[in-house]
Amino acid sequence: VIGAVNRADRAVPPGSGAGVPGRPARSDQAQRWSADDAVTELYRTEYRPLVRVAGLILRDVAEAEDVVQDAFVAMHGRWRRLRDPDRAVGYLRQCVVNGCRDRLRHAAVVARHPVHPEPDRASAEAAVLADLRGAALRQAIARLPERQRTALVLRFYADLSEAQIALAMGISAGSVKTHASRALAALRAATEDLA
Amino acid sequence: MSTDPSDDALAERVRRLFAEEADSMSIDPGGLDEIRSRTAQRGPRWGWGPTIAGVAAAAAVVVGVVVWTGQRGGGDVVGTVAESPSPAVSATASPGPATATASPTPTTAAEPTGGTGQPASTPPATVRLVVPVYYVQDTPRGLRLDREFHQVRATGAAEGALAEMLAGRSQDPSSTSSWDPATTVRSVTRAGGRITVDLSRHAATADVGSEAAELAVQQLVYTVTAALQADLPVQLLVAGKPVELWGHVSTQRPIRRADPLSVRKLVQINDPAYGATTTRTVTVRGEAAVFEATLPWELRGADGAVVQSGTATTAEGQRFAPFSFRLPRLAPGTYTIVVSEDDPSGGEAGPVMTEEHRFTVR
Repeated sequence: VIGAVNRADRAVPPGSGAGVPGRPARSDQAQRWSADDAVTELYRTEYRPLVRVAGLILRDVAEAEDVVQDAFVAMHGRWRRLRDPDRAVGYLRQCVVNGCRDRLRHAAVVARHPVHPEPDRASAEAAVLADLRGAALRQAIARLPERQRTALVLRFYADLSEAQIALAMGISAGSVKTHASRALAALRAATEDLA
Repeated sequence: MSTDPSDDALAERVRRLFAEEADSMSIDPGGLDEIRSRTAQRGPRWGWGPTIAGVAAAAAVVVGVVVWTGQRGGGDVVGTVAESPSPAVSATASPGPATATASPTPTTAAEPTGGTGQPASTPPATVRLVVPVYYVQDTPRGLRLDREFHQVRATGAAEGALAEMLAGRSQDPSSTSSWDPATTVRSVTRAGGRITVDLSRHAATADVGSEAAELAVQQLVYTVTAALQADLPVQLLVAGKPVELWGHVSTQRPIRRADPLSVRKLVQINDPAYGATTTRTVTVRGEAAVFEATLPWELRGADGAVVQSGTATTAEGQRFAPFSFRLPRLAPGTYTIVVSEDDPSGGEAGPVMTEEHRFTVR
């Protein structure tokens, strides 16, 4: 996870400070935060939004919490170089996207072992989700390749710009467009007969 | 992102669905303590030392919050934590009766994995799970850990995997366990950036040498961290207290997974499982850390004669990476698949590590 986020020292586009829109700008006093202060302050505003983003990508809240906690620990270790809350948020976001990616890759390896019998009970979370509306769309989203789902979550849940998504995912803005339009096309194909 | 009006409608549905799902997530409020307990071990100290441990313990979160562990049990822990600082955690911060924050649940220390949402009065329900369990094998390079997958009925993945490991019923007859089978799991909790495993007093009674003792502890650490899919340090307790296990291993401090290259078998077959019954088409799957990513294999019949042989490759050499290869369509009968490390020295470097699984084609 951590090795893949060296891009974090690059400039973050303006207005990219929030995991959710509408977060007020931080004052210059953040420059004097210690790493511990940064964790405390950013936890307050960013932790839950980031867990939700990771939860939507991973479809598992406990895993999402682990990924976001890893990101905060990494950010703590890097605070002296980040120094700025907006850059720190960009860094956290990259760590979270990379962390989700690593976990899903690993899960894909595991999923190729269908010989092992499935447990006889779905998780509580899956049961709750199945009861909610939009099961077909939800399933279609769950079946998207990881890059496409990540692009959708960052666009439609976190409301990030194309440039911000590109930075968080470590890809070009053009690739973001491609992922997003392929994802929407797949969702349309999967759900149009149910509309 | 698009000008097509039907895309806008779809985008709106996606937006609403994401918002709905995000709102329905119950996020544990103990996250800050988890993070602090980890950053406190490596960076500038927090000014309020002991209170952190107290708060973390109070906010102890149970393994029960982990979902889908059964499905994920087929793999192993992903090493996503960048550094492994030597944990300087106070041994007094023993997590008390833990509660899951998602819903009111039984306050037994070890809450079942599938137990969220149960009324407080019912005993922890058991579920059927597939769990990873590590055992010890004697190899040409000393004692090593070998992993199997077992189906168990338990209150949670960690409890099930540990109970199975302690019972010592391996599928592969060449696997062993030094733990006293009378040992029971008193509790497993996950809090403060570590996993705490409390075993009954029988844990202290095994009779093992120093090499086997270190590996037996790693066997437990690998098993519980794999079951929980969390690469965290493990605080091992016996009857509630840290001990000097078998006169060789101190459990005063939490113990992390040792380097897999030095403790695991370098070739590991996952499928077919040892002793499995299969159809006539068999794909062999596993993980190996081998020279130049090459793995010679042999399929032997019931009489030991080689039926077929070949060479498989892993995705990457010198570190654990998955491999898989398909066997030719097999006649019913009993076979042994043998996968080995490649030996570029032609035998001069000593015997190679091999993994053998016997299986039956029906």
